[in-house]
This record gives sequence, C-alpha cells and structure tokens, in this order.
Amino acid sequence: MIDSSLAVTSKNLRVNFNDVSVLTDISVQFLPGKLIGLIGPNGAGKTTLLRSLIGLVSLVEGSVSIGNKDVQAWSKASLARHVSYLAQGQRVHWPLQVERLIALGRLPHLGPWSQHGCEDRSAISDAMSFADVTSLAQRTVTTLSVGELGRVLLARALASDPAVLLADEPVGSLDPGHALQVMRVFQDLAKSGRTVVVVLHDLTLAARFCDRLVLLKGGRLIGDGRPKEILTPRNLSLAYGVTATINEKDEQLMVVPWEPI
Amino acid sequence: MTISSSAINAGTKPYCDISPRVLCGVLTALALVLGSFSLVVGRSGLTNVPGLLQIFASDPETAWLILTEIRIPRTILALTVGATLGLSGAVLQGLLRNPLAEPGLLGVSSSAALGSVAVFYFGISGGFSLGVPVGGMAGALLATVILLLLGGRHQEPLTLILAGVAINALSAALTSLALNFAPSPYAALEIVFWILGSFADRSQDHVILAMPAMILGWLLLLSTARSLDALTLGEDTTMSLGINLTSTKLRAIVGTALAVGAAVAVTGVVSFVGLVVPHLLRPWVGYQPSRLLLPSAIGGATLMLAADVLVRLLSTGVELKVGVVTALIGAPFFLHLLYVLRRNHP
Repeated sequence: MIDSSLAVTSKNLRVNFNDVSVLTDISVQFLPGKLIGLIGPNGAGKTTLLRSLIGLVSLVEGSVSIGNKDVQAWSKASLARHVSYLAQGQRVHWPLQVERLIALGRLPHLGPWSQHGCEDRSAISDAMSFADVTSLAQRTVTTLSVGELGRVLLARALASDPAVLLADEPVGSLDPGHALQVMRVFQDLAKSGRTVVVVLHDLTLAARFCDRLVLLKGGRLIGDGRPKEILTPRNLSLAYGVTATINEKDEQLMVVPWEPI
Repeated sequence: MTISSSAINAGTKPYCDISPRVLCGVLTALALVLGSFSLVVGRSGLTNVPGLLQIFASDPETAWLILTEIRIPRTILALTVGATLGLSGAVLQGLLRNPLAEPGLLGVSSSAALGSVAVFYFGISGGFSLGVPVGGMAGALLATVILLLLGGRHQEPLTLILAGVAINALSAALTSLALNFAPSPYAALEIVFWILGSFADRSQDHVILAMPAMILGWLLLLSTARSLDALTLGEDTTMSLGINLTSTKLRAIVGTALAVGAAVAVTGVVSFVGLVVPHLLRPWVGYQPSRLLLPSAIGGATLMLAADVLVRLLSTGVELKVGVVTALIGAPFFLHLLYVLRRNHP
C-alpha cells in the first residue's frame, strides 16, 4: 500500500566530500500539500541535499527520515515506490522510444519477472498527459529537443505515482510556456497531498508558484519561509551577490536580478 | 569511454522494432537448421555426407560414436559458447553503456587463455586430458578476483575497463613468455593453435565440465536485465529506482567471468561475436538493454555455429580455426557497420 502523504525530515544533516564540508547542520522538514522551492546559488548544496534525502549520500552526522522511518530503514524497492527523484541535466544513454523510457519509471512497481499491467499502463499515460508529452510517445529520445527531453524525464519521474517528488532544476531548460505549465503540474501535485520539492533558479517562478522557499548558501540553511519573507534584497545579496528589482503583480512577487554586487 | 553510445547509435530512423519473441523464434529456427547441418558436416566438409550415411548403413555403432562423441559435443559447444559471448557482450555493453564493450574487455578471456597455456607449458596436459580447460577456468577465476579487489565496492566503469586493460596486458605478456620459453617448436605451435580458438576434437567431457559454470553465468547475467534498463537513465536515477547497483555490477562481472571463463577454457579465444551480435540486434529491439539479452544469446549461438560449419566446409587439410574466421569476417564487417552508421548519421 502506498502512503499518499509522507513528510521528509532532515535533522542536523552534515555531508562531506573528501573532508570538505558540503552540507552543514541542515535541519528542515518538507511537509505534504505545499510546493516547496529549494533555491540558492551554484554549489550551495541543493543537489547534495536532495541526494541525501533519498539515501544516495553517506552522512557524516544527522539523519533523514521519510514518514516516521529513517531513510536507511526503508527497503530500497519500497522507498523507490514512494519517492521519485528527477536528477539534474540527465543524459539518456540509449536511443529508446519515449514511451519505453517513461515506462522505466514503473520499475519499482514491477515484480521480478512480471510485465506491465493495466495499472502501470494507466499510470504511464497519466504521467505523459501531466507532462504534456503524449504526442511525443512514439519518438526516439535522441531526436528530442532539450526542453522536450526535460518534460519526458519529468513524465518518467511521475510515472511511479510517487508520494514524494524531488526535482532538481526541472524547468532550467524549458521555454517560458512549458516552464509555467510544468510549475503548474508541480503545484497540482502538491495540492493533491504530495510532498514536492523543486530546485529552482528562476526566482519569479519560485515566488509565484511555491508556498515555501528554502534558501541554501555554502552548504548552510540561511532562509526558510514564505516567498515574501525569503526573497528580500538582503537575502538576495547575501546568497547570490546581486541586487534585484522586486515588484509585485497581483500580490505576487516579480524578482528580476539586476546587477552583481 | 570517450565515444558515447548515442554518437554511434543515434537513431533518427524509425524503429524497425519487432517483438523479441519473434526475433528469438527466427534466430532459434536458424540455429536448429544450422544445428542439424552441423551434425552431418564433418571435418573435411560436405563430401563426407554420403560417407557418413554409408557408415550408418554398414556400421551403425561407429556412426553413433561419431555422432555422440564428436559431432554432438562440437555442436553443443559451438551453440553454448556463442550464446555466452552474445549474452555477456550485451550485458557488458548495457552495464558500461558503451556499444564497444565486449566480453574480452574485462580481461577474463585472456587470463583464461593464459591458464590453459600454463597447463600446456608445464606439460600437465599430457597426463590429464581436462587439464587445459581446468587451467583455463582457474585463470578466469584469478582474473575475476583481481578485478573485484581492484574495483572495490562501487566498481566504477572506468576502473573496471582500466583493470581489464591491465589484466589483458599482463596475460598477453605471460602468454608470450610461455611461447618464448616453449620447450620445443611443437609445444609453441600447440599453444598458438589452442589460443586461436576451435571446437574441433572436443568431447562430452568438455561439455560436462563447462556447462555448469556457463549456465550459472547465464542466470547471473540474465538477472541484470531490469537494472540495465534503468542504467539508461544514469547511476543516480537507477539507485533512486530502488536498484542495488553494487549487486548488479557484481552479478554482471561474476556472470561474465563464469560463463566466458568456462567458454574460453574449452575453446580458446573467439573474438568479435560478443561485440558484433548485440550491436547487430540492438536496433531490432528498440535499443532497450533488457530486450536485447535473449536475442543476443540466441544470435550469438547461431552465428558461432554458422562460423563453425563454415570452418568445416572451407577446410582442406589443415582445419581453419573458428576464432580466426570470426575475427576475419567480424572485423571488416564491423568497420562496414561503423561506416554505414557514420554515413547515415554524420
């Protein structure tokens, strides 16, 4: 049975790569039902944080729990059925057909020798329409544009119908129309009671769609709250080293980074 | 690892994708035809068919002996060794996500050959007829242990390939050393002929010795199918899909070592089958690693048997070695394939 809502919690997380600290003392809780944006400059530790949350990184200190259970206590297969991870800038190694690539997202649900059943097929077609790639189903992945591939990989991550979705820069390569559309997909997933964490660089998208923003800098948590509390001139200069034009439209923020400091 | 798979395989052409079941069926039918052919083609070619029939009529016992002691073991070995090479090639290409990977890459075949050569060199083969294959399997085992120790817990593809290069170089050097100090030209010739790879003069004992290791190897290799599919998306995503990558790599390496080690131990080194067969069949299964495994095994068996029948048909006097023929046909064919792919997708 799939739990449809699971909180993801990290406590005093510390991660080193070759004795250099990459994450320091990260305690944060990601709750279901809200779209959470993970923001911060390059090298802030956003990807490492996501990878730690699904147990791909060995921790020096601290712990991660998903639901009420420590991430290491989950069986690999069960964890994969509940948590989906969309890696950044992914490369596809063989020129598969789009539909078959998306079907790989169902792997955690398959028995050792079983084939895709009705449930798998409907999950795959739902995921394809969610990510607006149904028309690409018969194409070869190597013939897709970067943006199309990005949406196909998103559909792959959605195909497992996860309770938790961790997406690393899913809109970085999308055109404005598809970026808005994909952000809306994330918003809908969150509203349906899932836990959705999205790494973003576009601060206006982050302000507009996310219910909460978590700001990392140099491996430390320097802000956690509603977009209006986080996207302040002080935080932007502290985290990104920029001044920004911050306006409001329909009570939502527009953040346009303007000058490096 | 500089040539990316998509650079070679980048398919803009539509899929000529047929069901693996149909593909396996066609290949199996081909193997059956060749198999029955293989039972009647003797060492000196087709001319012996009437002779064989005559023997069957006049001396059924001898004919039966020829069939069970020579032809059937030879046919079975050609089929199983071919299947081993095709299957392990497909698995390694999937694991390393590189269409240039092949069973010899890990150094298992060359070290198995070295093990057999050592048996020849120290003259153990005279007293113990299965000494050569046993030596070969010991060599393969040693290489596997070194490979696993070097690769460590994570078995990075690059480390595996480099370790394979080192093991290959060392095995080649030691084989040359054995040739260098061979007690007589005849002994050196025996070693060289053995390394070339052949199914001639193998008995039921060879089949019985190699089969358990090959079958165990096949099972381990086949068990990686799902993980190889997931690896299409890279290692992080594979792990996030709940797949134990360390176990996948171990099964692929140990499976290759068992199956290829046993195969080389009884036949010598046969090149190009493990490289070409998966490459040829890949477009037919839509490039999906898991769907490639069974067709590659059956395709490898078919190709190997065809090569062995060809060797028997072409031989007059000195029998051609099957390993020579596979490389002789395989290498130009592979070059042609690369040329066609480049022309289609510049």
